[in-house]
Amino acid sequence: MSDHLDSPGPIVLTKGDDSASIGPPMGDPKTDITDLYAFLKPDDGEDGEPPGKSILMMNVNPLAPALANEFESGAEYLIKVDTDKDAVEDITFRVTFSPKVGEQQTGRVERINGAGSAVVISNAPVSFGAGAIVTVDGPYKLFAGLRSDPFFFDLLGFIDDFNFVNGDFFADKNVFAIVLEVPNRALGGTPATTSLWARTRITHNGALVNDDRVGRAAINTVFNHGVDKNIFNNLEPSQDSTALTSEGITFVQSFANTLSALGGSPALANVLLPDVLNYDYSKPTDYAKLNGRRLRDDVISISLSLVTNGGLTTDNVPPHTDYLDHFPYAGKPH
Amino acid sequence: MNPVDRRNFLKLAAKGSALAAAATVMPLSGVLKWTSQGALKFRAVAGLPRNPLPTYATFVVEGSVDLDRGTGLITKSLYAGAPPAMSNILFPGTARTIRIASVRRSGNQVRLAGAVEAGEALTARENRNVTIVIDTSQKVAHADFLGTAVVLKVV
Repeated sequence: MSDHLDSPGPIVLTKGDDSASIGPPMGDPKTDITDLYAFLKPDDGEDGEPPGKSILMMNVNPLAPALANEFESGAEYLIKVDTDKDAVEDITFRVTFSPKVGEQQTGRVERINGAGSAVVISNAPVSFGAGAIVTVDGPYKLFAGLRSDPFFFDLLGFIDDFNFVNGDFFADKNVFAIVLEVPNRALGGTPATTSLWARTRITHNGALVNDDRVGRAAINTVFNHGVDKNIFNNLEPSQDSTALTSEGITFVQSFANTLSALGGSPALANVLLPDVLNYDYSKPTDYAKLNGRRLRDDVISISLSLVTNGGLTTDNVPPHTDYLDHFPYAGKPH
Repeated sequence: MNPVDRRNFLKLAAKGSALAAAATVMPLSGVLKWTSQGALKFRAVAGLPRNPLPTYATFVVEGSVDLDRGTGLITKSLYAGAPPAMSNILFPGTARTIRIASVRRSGNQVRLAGAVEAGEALTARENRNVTIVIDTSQKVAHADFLGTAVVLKVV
């Protein structure tokens, strides 16, 4: 539930016998982002590669492969990088996929900046089984495919009004992971002011439109109600501070209201928005210090403490034990 | 956090959540009808979690009972999405099938008692013996989700 099965998971707004699409996002699990991770390469320099690299991981497709067993070929999977703190992307890693034919699908990665775009990896096979097919091209590596979901949380406890006694809902779940190893220099050269977010775009009526987006963990799930989830997904981070909810108040005010209701500080709304993942790759990665996110970072306990001002401090679920110490870092699928 | 702390937290949290409450009270669809004399079919839903958090999932209790024989089959399920945008995605491990063994009517209330099917695993706070109360005048149902009492709407 970092952003699992939240909008755009549900597809249709239903009232009585009437139902209508609630517009983009369309609710395709293939483009439903679950989590974004960014961390310093743990084995940096130990694998014969030059040091100075980062791992960017964007996961989609909760409960995979139950709901879908491929990437969406008409979609864009984007990891956006802001280098100067204006919440506007300066660099984008765009990942796209061929149509799946039989059990074959391939991915391609482009790095886009103001100077144009360059393909950094192409024809990378998607992994559908237990083995991790890794494609290497120069300083870049890509894994794309089915993987153990690294996220850990007592989701049922959350749904059951914070009765955190049910254990880790995600212990046996999978996702479709996109894992990129990139040289830090490809992130722009200004680590102190770098932040990231993940975005999916889908083809709708012949045009690419915004679908889902994720910066920090669980922001949309915890703070946005009803159709505001979709409004929020459709925004760019640079709009987060001024855009209005369906109630006609700013998202900042809405977040502040929820924080107050949870016992937290309303001022935290201005920290949580814009919803981007700060990532200073010149310093150790630690979500608790608002710097990137490792697989084992207990984002739920950190967030619970923060938004409840210590009222709740843990969901009693430890990190998974199947993380790898080498690329692609996410464990084998269940 | 112990259970008392948790309840206090929720109580405190709910005080400041008028806006959140307004945003999560949504139209619910369901069915409550006497399909024939002595038979009741119903469907009740509730958004979870409750205030002040945004609704994330829909808890559905539905089924039919033979009021004369005191038997029936009820299911409890949890689906992704808030009630107005409920999906057909069932949360794994949350579905329960309850075989009703007793039906008691008292005024506008129908009290159903039964047991979760033997093969279904329960979580720590659940009881295999289940009671569901339907108030036909209020059009609400009282049932438990993982052991926590929940009021569901039938419309």
